Amino acid sequence: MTRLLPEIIHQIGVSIPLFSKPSIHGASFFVPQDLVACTLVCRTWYNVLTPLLWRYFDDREEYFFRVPLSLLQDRSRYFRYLTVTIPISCRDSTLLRELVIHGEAFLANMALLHNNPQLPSLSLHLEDDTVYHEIQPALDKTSRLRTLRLSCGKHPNIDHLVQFISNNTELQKLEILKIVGFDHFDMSHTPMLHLTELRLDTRLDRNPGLVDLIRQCPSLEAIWFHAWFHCPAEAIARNIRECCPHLTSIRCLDGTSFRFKSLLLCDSEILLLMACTTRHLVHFEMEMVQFTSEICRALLAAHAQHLETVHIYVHDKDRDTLVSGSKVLAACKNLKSFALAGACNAWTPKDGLILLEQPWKSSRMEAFWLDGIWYNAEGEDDDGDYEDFFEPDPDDLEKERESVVEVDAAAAGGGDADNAWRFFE
Amino acid sequence: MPVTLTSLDDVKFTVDKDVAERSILIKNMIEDVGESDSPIPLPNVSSAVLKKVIEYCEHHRNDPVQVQDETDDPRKRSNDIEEWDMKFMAVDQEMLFEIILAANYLDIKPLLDVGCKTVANIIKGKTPEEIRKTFNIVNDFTPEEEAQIKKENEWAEDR
Repeated sequence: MTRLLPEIIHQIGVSIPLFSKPSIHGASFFVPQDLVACTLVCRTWYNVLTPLLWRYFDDREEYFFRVPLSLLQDRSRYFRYLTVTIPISCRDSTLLRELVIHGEAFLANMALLHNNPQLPSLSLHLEDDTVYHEIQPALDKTSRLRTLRLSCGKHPNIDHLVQFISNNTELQKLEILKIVGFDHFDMSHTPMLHLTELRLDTRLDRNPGLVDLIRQCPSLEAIWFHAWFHCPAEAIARNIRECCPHLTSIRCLDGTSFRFKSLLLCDSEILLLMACTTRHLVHFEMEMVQFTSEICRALLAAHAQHLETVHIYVHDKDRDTLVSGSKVLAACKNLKSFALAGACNAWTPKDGLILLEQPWKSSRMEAFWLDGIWYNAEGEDDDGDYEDFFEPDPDDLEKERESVVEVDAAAAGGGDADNAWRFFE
Repeated sequence: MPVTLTSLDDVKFTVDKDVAERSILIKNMIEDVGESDSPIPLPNVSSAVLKKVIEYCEHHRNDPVQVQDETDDPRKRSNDIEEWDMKFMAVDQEMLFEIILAANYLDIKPLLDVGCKTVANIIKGKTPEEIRKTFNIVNDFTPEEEAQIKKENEWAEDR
């Protein structure tokens, strides 16, 4: 064999997967065996590839339960993508690119932030505000974050929290979840000039300061929030309209939970959100009672030529939603991802055909998802109308068998509900 | 404007500038030297390999310039290879490694990536001994070292 330079062996090592190919539901598993085999080939391969083998460490991963502590501490200098949920020492990790850390583990590893001033991605999960107070000095050491995911319990020190976010002047993506008591704050903090994505995965009615936070993000391009239960849609729309001229993506979180319709946003609030952007919407994802003709008309009139994602989740069983869906498919030439989901048993197969009544305009479609069609073979097909649709094709059966194997594998590995939605990201 | 490249064995290849500039090395050389009719010498690449590299660059001449990937996040990497690239890489092992070396020397990152992914796919599922045999690599571990490393990696065994 041609003698390979260490840099090429390294590049080959980077190409050896440490994770299995994601299943259709996005589940993927840690599979270190190929890289481990490579470290046993010869001395050069061992020296070059061992750091790559250890660049990922998650203490929840079953494989790592078997690693002796002494080996773990020695290898911690190679960690780049680190998740720690229990108090184990990782003091030698000084070149982290991502740190996911939970409260107790953080208390045992506060030096990690001191030792990684270059850290670009931090995901911090705290159970309560007492821990937050203890870690404030460590948080002050970070200034280069580009991605921050923050879950910090009840009533954290809001002024410090906002200052901490503002100090990271390169921050582009901010996600805040499971927080209570994020109150209005002093708006004189430095605006977050680079922040383009804001994901508010918590109840906004209990965290009015998070709605204010939108005003601090003049470069915001995408926002996610829970569009239900006292969601202050009007204030969100106003803040976006007044302070976020670059916003092109409005997406609800957890839209397929199909809550009571009394909890959902009303049509006028949805119309406000669709009208609040000064630019055209490219991504729109929303749960609502019905995808009414009025909402559809407003969406298409303002944004049809630019929409790449339309995901709609409806509560009510009605054909109008499908008619609106059909209009979206017929009008949006740039559509890449379309999802229409109704609460269980929403439509019959015949209703579903409404989506095919007009030719679809987009030639760029990558993902299509329709859910909520229910077929009762005994009660609803007296004329045999649907029989052909459900007659199994031998080729399809083979494909189905393959996908069942994949789904089973995902279930065995504990794939979670969040993963199911990665398909659309 | 065409550019002339000269291989290790002194064979000349004339290609369009945008094709040649898929190589960052050549792009930088053209920028440094300025417009010139003089052939660009590539003393580390044989004509057989250069011909393959040019074939790749011509096929991918309109691809967007790959942004330097700042992450080697193992959760986000895919080892999928496009159909044309897979056929292109269906060469003997000697040529495969020559292409990888040339891609590294000429700084053609997408070609280097596809070459390394091809090698990674060959490695998939093989034991250390099979990898050595496949790539003709000498095991230079002492028996003690090998036993030690095997013990070190016991955690990764399937159970």
